[in-house]
Amino acid sequence: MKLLLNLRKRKKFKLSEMLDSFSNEEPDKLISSDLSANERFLRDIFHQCSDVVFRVVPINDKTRLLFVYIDGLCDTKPLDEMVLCPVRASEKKCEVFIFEEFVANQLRAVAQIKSTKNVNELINGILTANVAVLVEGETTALLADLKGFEKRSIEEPSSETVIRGPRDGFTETLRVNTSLIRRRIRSSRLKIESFTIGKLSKTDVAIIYIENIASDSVIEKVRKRLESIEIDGVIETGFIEEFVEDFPFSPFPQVQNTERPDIVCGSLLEGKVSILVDNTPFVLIVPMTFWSGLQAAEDYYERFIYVTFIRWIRYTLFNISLLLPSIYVAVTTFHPQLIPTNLLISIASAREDVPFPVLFEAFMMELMFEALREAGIRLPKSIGSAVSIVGALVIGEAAVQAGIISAPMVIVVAATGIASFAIPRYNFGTAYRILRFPILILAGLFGLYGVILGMIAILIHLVHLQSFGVPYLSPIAPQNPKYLKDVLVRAPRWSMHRRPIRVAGQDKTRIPKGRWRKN
Amino acid sequence: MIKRLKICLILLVCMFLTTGCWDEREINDRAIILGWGFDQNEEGDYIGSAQIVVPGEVGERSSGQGKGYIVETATGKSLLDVTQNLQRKLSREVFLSHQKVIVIGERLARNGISNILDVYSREPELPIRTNFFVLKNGEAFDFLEVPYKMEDMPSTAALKMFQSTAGPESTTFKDFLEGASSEGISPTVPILEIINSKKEKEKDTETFRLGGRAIFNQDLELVGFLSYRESVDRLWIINKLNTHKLTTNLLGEEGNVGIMGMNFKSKIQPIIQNDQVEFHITLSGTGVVRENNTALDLKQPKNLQIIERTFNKNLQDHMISTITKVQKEYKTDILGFGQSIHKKYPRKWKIWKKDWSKKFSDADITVKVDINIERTGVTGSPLHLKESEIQK
Repeated sequence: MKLLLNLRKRKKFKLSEMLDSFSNEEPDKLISSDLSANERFLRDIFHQCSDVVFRVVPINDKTRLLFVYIDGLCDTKPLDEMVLCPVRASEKKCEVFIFEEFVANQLRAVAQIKSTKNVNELINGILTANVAVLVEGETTALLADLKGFEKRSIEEPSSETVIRGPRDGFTETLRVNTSLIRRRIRSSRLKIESFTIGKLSKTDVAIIYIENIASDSVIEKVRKRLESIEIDGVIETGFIEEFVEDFPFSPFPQVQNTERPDIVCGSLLEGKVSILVDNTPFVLIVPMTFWSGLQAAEDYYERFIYVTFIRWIRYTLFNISLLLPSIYVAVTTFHPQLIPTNLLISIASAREDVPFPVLFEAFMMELMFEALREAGIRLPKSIGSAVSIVGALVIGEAAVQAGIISAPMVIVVAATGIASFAIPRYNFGTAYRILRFPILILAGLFGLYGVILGMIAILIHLVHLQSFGVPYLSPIAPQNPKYLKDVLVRAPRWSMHRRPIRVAGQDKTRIPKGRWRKN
Repeated sequence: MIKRLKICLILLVCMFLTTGCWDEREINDRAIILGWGFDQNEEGDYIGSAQIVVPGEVGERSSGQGKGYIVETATGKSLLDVTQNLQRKLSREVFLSHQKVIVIGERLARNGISNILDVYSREPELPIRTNFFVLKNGEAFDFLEVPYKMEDMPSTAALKMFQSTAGPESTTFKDFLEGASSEGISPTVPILEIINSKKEKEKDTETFRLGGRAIFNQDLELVGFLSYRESVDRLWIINKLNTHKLTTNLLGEEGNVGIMGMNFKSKIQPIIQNDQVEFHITLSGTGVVRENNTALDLKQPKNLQIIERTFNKNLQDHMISTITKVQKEYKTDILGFGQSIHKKYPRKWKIWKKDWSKKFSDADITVKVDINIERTGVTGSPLHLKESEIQK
């Protein structure tokens, strides 16, 4: 009675507050033996939740069964087939005391069964797609794991496409995602630890690592940081990322994300730890280094000579994406001595009609470019092409024809744009997109001196940066010459004997030395 | 933490405020000067003339009407004074860093150019590696006005002409200053001449060409000119001649032979006897016959020897006449003979260096030329000759 009174009072509260108060005040509330009381209680809890189904099935005069589940999350077909049909068939013979056991046994054949006496556990079970089975007169409830909700099928990830390499990508379902990883690393050393994060969302989060290969300190850090998260809901891995990263105010991402299981597995084999979150195809990988921001999955599938070449192009391009507009502004306004005479005359003649200072021109064009890019992402595909046509016409042709923008500036901005697309990790490229602007201002105010100061500032910041205890620039700074095989070049696979230093745990050897040549 | 931030902020502000001069200027606010001319008027003031790019008249956006440059002049007591006065005529700031050539009028050169040199090594905006010419028989201003069809800017044309003919020798201000400051050799500067490309004396047909070299004495006054051919002799003696095409008439034959000379070497041996110096100059080189207008069959070694002998003789004669001209007429050692004494007889040099030009002009000189013809080209005798006409 006391319980019911309490409930009456709470009815006024919102569901969230109710759940809060449950978990805080009465953690040990038990299930009563009165089925009607239980039903009332649960209906109170789930009041106004139209998707929660209460099915009361009378078996005989004395006995009734209560199924509680969330419509759409559970597959109730096996429930009907395995429990209700046989129960109906043998209804008369059944005795109350063995009934629970009978149901449990029937269900066990098709699903994981958990029994609980605790109300909180029961509610959590219902919310996490279990079917709760309560029996008249019993204080134990059964939770059958009959998950059966709609899933997206495995598709090629659109954010990271490859020419050569596996085409499967993660989906929104955590279990599908873990299976994709497990299929690639069939070892008992592949550990998947589960967490539940989010007071309301109760999102399943898993950390995956390979025992001994991943460093214990990193795993411990990941665990601790995940456990300390207090948040109402986790919708995407970004929520987790911002909680676990080391330097939240840095423009550089310290956590890598990917949609590709092959990238995750490659990282796991290097000794990294990945964090999977239910309901999103994006998976986090820690620790991240500067260099992994410039590596693409295909770097490991194509032959190493080509990859080394591509990497150098990429390094060049990403410097261009950061510096080209600034250098153009600095050189034309401060140091025209540095430009070859003929080029200087061409630039001067192209700029003759332009009414704006170079700095302003550069700023305007960069902003326009960012605007085009942003507009292109958000718009529906059918309108997207219209944006690019308008952009190309307005910026590329009309602005130059009208003499508002000089042609060299269009070339500079276009080259910068193309260069920035060559950075394989999207979130890494954004850091450079942002940093381009302060350096541009420095270049406009102080010339190359300003550019150099900006670069020094970025470098100091990068050297200072760490991701889960791993220096961001390792193995270049702190330098470790033996481990440079996957940084400036991509050495042939058979020569990469070791896992990356500072990332990997005890087991540092990937390939035994010298073996590959024997046959 | 706050303290650290404060220190960082102060350091940051220092970094930006203690940078020295702030020279931000848009390209279109600069008057890009490509060629610079120096003259002197009767009062002794310097006249600077500048060939300035007009960006609106060059490139794709131009209407094709203008020349692409203008020439402006100003007078002053020094280069700085001249630029200061020039600036008053220009809407854009004078920008001297892209000067391609500096041309010095003959009158200024004869009066001496030592008063205008320092600024080129001191003023940061002026490039010390600008090439540097003397205009024979004229004012530098006239040169800058001469149009040149092949290049957008006539100044560039002068520079390219020089680069395509002079081989490895560069004559930038830096080289000139080196030559002026070193002992035992006097500096020389290439010459530009304004000529008429056609016979009619019209302004349109005026163009310019590269001449020989202007000779400066140790006081940096112009004393005379070497013709183009004589300046090649000079290059050979100072060991800077790379390749050169040589042609000579053969004695007793009709027609001439042309060779492509290369691997030119020279050796200057000073010999001092009774306080009198004598120079033995040994010049060597190899050649490939590129042209044979005689009836000689070059497959015969004896015919080759005839050619070699003729070449040696002719080159030797020319060399002696060049050296004598330098010695007797100009009395200026531009051939580095003093340096060879400095190397071989350092003590003697200390005594002699004061009146070296006199000693130099009194010195006896013997020249030995040794051209070695290595190849004769594809055929022995000219192909158009009949068998009977060929001299075996």
